[in-house]
Amino acid sequence: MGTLARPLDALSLFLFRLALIGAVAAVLVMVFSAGWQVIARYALNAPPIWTEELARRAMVWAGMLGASCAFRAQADPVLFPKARDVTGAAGNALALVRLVGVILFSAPVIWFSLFDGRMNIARGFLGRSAMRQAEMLDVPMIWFTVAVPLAFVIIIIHALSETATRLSGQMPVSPLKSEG
Amino acid sequence: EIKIALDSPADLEGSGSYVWANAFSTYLNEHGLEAEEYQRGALGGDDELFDQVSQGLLEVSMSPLGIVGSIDKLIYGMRLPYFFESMEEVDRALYEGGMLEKINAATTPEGVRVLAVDSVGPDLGIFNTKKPVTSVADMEGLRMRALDESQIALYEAWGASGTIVSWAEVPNALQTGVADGYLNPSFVPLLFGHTDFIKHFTTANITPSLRIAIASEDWYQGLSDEDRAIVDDAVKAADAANREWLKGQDGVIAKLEEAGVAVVELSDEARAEFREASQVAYESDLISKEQIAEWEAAKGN
Amino acid sequence: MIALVPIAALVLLLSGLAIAYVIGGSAVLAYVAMDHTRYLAILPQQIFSKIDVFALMAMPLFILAGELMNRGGITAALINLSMAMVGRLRGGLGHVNVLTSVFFAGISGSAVADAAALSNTLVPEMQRRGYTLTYASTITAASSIIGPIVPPSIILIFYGALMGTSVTALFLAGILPGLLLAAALIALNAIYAARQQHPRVEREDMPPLLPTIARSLPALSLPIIILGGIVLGWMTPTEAAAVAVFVAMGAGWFYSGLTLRGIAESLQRTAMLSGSIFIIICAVSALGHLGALERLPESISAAVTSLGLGPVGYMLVLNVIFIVAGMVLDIPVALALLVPLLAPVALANGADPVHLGIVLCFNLCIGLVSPPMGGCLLVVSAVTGVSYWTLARAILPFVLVEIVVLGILIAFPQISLFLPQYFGFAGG
Ligand code: NA
Ligand code: NA
Repeated sequence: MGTLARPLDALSLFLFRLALIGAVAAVLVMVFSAGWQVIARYALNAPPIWTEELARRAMVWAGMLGASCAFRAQADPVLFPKARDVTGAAGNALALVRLVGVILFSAPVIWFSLFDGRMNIARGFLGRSAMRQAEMLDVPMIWFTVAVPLAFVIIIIHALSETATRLSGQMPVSPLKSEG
Repeated sequence: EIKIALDSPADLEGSGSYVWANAFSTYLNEHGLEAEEYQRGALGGDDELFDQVSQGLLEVSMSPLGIVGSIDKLIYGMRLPYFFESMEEVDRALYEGGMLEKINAATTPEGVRVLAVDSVGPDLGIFNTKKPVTSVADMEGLRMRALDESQIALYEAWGASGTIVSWAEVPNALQTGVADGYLNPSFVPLLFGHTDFIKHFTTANITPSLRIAIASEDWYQGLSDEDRAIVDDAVKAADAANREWLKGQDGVIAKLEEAGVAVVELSDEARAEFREASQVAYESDLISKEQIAEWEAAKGN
Repeated sequence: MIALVPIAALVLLLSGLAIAYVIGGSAVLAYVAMDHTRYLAILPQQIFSKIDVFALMAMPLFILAGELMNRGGITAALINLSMAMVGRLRGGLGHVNVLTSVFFAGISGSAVADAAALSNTLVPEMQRRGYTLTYASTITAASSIIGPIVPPSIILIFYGALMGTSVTALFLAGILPGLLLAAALIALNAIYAARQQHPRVEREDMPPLLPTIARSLPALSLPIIILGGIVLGWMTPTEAAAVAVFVAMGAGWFYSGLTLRGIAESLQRTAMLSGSIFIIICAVSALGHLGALERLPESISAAVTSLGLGPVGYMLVLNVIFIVAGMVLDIPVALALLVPLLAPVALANGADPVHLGIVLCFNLCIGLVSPPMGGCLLVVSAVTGVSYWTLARAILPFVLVEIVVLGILIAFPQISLFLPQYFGFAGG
């Protein structure tokens, strides 16, 4: 387990940092496009048509990437946080249960982003949204919809890494503490 | 079971879309196909319903025109200002002129069949909080709530300006002057309680007020010939009920006046002026020149 | 088969898995157990549609503005201003605590942020001037819930997004109830002050009036810009939130408390906090569709009818459910799970969507200061060191007063609806 835990943890940490940068950038896009909307309406008297949609789609990216970061940093609300402090065999068992829960939720989202109900890859969620245009922005919807499965892929990697770390006898370290 | 997702309250008086859906489901149930209506929003918003239909997980959904427009813009012909004289002309283009078939040629490969086009009320007119609009010149200085870029272009062609405001914020926008008015069918301010601040209505008859009924192509093709015939007949029955309902909708204008909205009937010259000024919509990105020509041909006049 | 789903959910919950993933994982199991597996194919679109929502946009931006504010030294300016206004009264610092929360509420949309900020600053000050640590902590926790009731409010934004209700109308509706709550807490503090001989702030300890007001202006400009801008229709809530971010940066620069590092941390925390809320929305959207397929909303409304609850009875039941939910669940979880299921029936029974939003927000806020899981109690207890259960006991009279205020709000919808109606939002 130890041989697998190390590279997985490195990958997870790398994805965490990358996603955090992406999420922060998306929040900044929201701030500036909503801010620009105010300026354009009053200073330039020309209400722009793309700012609202851009801010909204940036929010999707910020929220989904942020969700993956919150998962890695264990910042999501938990009803029984003490269960995470359990070590040894019982702790390993609990970690495996958590991994199953994460995969149960994430796997269908990822699967059906790629395929439709009949295993047709052209008609999966991503395939379908590649065929549809956004409202005001002149790009296909897939530019925004891809944030959903991508975040769930990262979350599964984080979950696998956490489990592997625990099974190799160590406790996962919060990426924020290790930096600060 | 055939699931039908509604897009409006289950109101046989006020909602043309529900009149269609209800006549459709009633016909199916009477002819041995089990159909059930799902309240507005229960199965999701417009995008989600479209997605479910395209995957065969929802049989029928009442939807806006634009939902299909994201695949192919041909359907936006029905949004061209001053293109149709009447609902009869719309029906002629769709059924005799073959436009419904052409729309479906693009959407059925995506799993979506447009079953029918339903009217939700009298034609689109101009509402505003500021002044009576009796001619294009009166539009000067009004800031109108817009749905999209092409509508902003239309407002600008009329000498007004446009701003995009989400529907939930419209009352506040009208109150505070972020927007001065909007284009809508005549019943809308009554339905949403906007008559406290909407003071003027002009029956500009810009476009018919339309929505569509879409069905899952997988489901439709999977029906036995017999069942498909029942569904086709149910569509005809629903169309008939919807057009009949529309004829009884003239009372809305009187209700608007009762609610304190001053109504302006456009003169023929003013209407011609608006039509002239609306040419810009025929050159926008909304729909291509070739597609407009197809609609022209289908109208047959 | 279907009986296994709640068991699996319980196991997942006990394993220490975050609630969002418990809900999402159990929902997927339920699709399989109920023979609806094929409907999982629409899960991605469902998730996307529920987060790609106009009304949600103000949320991350107001979170960011609040984060910047906390790091920018604005709390101290607000405390000084409150001190100059009510410090000389008996129990002065108690009043200061409540009043600071009112000012803070006009900037931040979060009760927990208020509780954390004042536990750090005002509680030690109160203790130094003769208040017991327990009382100082208690009033800090009790008054923190003014935050999400007075606009801006993350809870109201979330409710608006779920119900398609105007966020502007909800914000307007929160103003008077928030002030009423503040007045009630100040009254209770005055009673405590008289009975326990709480001190006033000595004249020589008072901050100088004019410089204090001058110094607090940048902080005070925020609620004025935010509220004024929205109310007068200069800005949508989203735009106001973006402006709040810029003003918070400016004010932080003015108080010289805001560093580049502080800005970076604010942005990161905003992304993660928003992410935590978004993943809850994702999970609940899966569950929501299952409920629709099984016609759960119709069953609930049928049950309400058959029990003969009537509009008033249902409203009371709804309140009990939401208070309990607020006690045991995280607020976004409670909102996302319960509002789409329970609110439509209340609306069908004649409730006003804006009034209902305020009442449900108030309910959930009371849950924040009630055991067993009260989020604000946890934060205050963690920062001040007062034991959780001591705090939970001491806060009871305050919670009772808050429940009375809630009762008044339910009985008189006009308190919530006066301002929205004045500014042209129909209903009521
Ligand atoms: Na607030
Ligand atoms: Na306080």
